[in-house]
Amino acid sequence: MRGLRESWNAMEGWMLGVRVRNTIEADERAGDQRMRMKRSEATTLLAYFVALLVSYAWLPHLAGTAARVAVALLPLLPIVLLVALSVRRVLLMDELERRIELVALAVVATTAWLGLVTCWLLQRAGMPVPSALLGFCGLGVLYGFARRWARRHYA
Amino acid sequence: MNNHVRDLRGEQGWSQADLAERLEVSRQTVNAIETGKYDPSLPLAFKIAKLFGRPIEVIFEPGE
Repeated sequence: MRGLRESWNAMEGWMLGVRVRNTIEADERAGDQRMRMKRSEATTLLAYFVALLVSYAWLPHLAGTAARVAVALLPLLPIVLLVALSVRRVLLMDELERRIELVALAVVATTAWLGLVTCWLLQRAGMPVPSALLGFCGLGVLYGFARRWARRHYA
Repeated sequence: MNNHVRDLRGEQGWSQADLAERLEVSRQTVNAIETGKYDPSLPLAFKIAKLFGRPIEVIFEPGE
C-alpha cells in the first residue's frame, strides 16, 4: 500500500514538473517573439535619434534648397519604419493584449492632439509654450501609465 | 457574461498556460476570461467551444 502511494506521489510530482516546464516554455516562446519586436523597435528608435542629430547638426551648413529639404526630412525614414513596426506588433498581439495596447494608444493620441491644439492656442495668445522635448518625454510616460492602467482593469 | 471555462479546463487537467497555448492567446487572456473580466470575441469563443467539444451556449451564458 505504501509502495503504491509512493509511486502515485512520484507520478504526481512528475506531472507537476511537466506542467511547470510547459508553462515556462510557452512563456519563453511568447517572450522571444516580444523580445525580437522590442529589439527591432529599439534599433529603429536609435536610428531615428541618430537621423535627428545628423539632420540638426548638418542643416545649418547646407545652402541648396533641395539638400536642406532632404536632410531635414532624414528622420522621416526611421519614423515610417517605426510606425510599420508598431502596427505589426499590435497585429501580432492576442485580442486582449491588443485591446490594452489600443486603449493606451488612444489615451496618448488624444492627449497629443489636445496638447498640440492647446499649445497652438497659447502661442497665438502670446504665451510661452512648453518645449517639444517635454511633450515627447511626457507622452512616453503617459503611454506607460495608460498601459498599466488598462492592464490592471483585466488582471 | 458568465462562463465555465475554468471548470472545463480543470476537467482536462490543463493549466492556464496549456489552454492559452492551445488557443494561441496569452495566459493573461485566459485568466481574464475565466475571472469574467474579459468577454472573448466570437471567433475565440467558438475556438474555446470547439476545443472543449461543447456548444458555445453551454460554456458561455449571458450575465444578469
